[in-house]
Amino acid sequence: MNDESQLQVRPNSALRLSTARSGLIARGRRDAALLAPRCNKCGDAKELVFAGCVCDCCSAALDEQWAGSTATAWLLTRYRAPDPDRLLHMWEFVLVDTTYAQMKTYWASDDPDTQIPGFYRSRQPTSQESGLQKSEWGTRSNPSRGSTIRPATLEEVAAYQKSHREWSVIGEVARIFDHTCDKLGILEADDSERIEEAAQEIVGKLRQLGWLEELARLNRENSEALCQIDGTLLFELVFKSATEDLRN
Amino acid sequence: MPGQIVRRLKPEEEEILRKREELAAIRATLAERELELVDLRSQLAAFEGRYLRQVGTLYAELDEWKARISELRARLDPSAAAREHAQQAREQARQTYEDAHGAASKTSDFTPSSELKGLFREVAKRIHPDFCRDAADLERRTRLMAEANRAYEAGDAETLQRILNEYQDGADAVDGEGIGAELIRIIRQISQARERVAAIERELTALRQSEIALLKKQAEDSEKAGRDLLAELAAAVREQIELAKRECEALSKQEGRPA
Repeated sequence: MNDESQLQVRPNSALRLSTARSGLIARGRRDAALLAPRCNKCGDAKELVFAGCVCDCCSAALDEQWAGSTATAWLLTRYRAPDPDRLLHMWEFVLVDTTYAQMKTYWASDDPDTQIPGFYRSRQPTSQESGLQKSEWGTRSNPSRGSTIRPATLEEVAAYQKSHREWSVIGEVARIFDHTCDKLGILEADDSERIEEAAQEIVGKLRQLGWLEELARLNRENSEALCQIDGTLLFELVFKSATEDLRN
Repeated sequence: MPGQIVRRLKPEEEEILRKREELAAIRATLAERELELVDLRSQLAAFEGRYLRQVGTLYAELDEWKARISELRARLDPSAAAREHAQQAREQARQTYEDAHGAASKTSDFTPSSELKGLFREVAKRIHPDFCRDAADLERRTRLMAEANRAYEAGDAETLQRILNEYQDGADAVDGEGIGAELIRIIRQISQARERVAAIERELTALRQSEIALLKKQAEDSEKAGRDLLAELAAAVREQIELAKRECEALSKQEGRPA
């Protein structure tokens, strides 16, 4: 509709556009179309009816699949493809005591800054998962992320709870390390005597809290969470003291 | 009760009464449609002005950078194709600048008061050219109607009132024509008014389908969703300008001179 005759019905029309100015407006319309909000799921520029980011069609499709479910433990999987040449990566979250309606909100947002409780693990997808996700993205103009939900299995819930417990222990141990080092003014480059002093204090606190046995167990089981603590001299000393303490 | 003597109207007198009512109704309709048309044109012109100021000027800046890039490329690769491309880009930049900074960009926002609308409606009803009696009357009504259109678009109630007063002062007086002549005149006026209403409907339809009306609708829909489309467009064009500047700087370094 950029024919200038469209706007020249009356000779004195205030909107008598030159073809070029009409072109400048058409340019804005084209660029505006690219700015239209798109559904997080199908990528189409449609009215977004759920959580401000999902179209009616995708929302209804998920409802049809899971709205009737009475599950209270769910597995949310998020996919990312940083660029087309790199492998897909995925993160899994197990959410217990959660309804479908709550899960749908987590599913809707693909914003990486959205905090989701119940982080379970990150992993590479299987070739089947990868193929499925990529074929789904094939229809989208700019695919880079996505998420799926389904009720979690009993095994997944048990594995998540074990992992969650380990991460809690490690988190608490790390907090005690930091607090003690801050209090004593210990730096990583300090002399071994001061580090030994800090190690003894940390071991004492862990003993009081009953964490020493937990640490030893995590070590025996080669816990993934334990690997996250750097192998500093201080940690080695604490760990050695903890092992000896348990032996005694 | 004494009987009243009532003069029965002749058939042609009854007909002229009916036609006068019909004419009054079509005058009211025509005035409404004229108001709708001038309103829509003014709103679109105001939106276009806002678009040109907010986004069009940035497109002009972007096209200027693109023209510089094409000219730098043509200097680095002095082929005929590169030179032609540079000339086209320079012409595009000139055209975009003219369009974005032209008179249309100066049109300010348009929010007519109900008083202004009422005045315009009255003017259109009374002095519309389609209700002229002769060539001299047509010329006068056409001039006044054009003046009224401009006054409405400028929000100038005083001028509208003056036009109304000026016309009431004399020219609308009925000549001493016979019933037959008046009937013919009214029938013609009704016919002309209907044609004009149909023409306005066509113009309204065309205006509603114009690029600027569609862009305005997009902006209004975005606003309902809490977005400011023109601001988003401006931000997107600014990003393109930044990219073009960087490209221009890189090419300038390659050529060995500042951008």
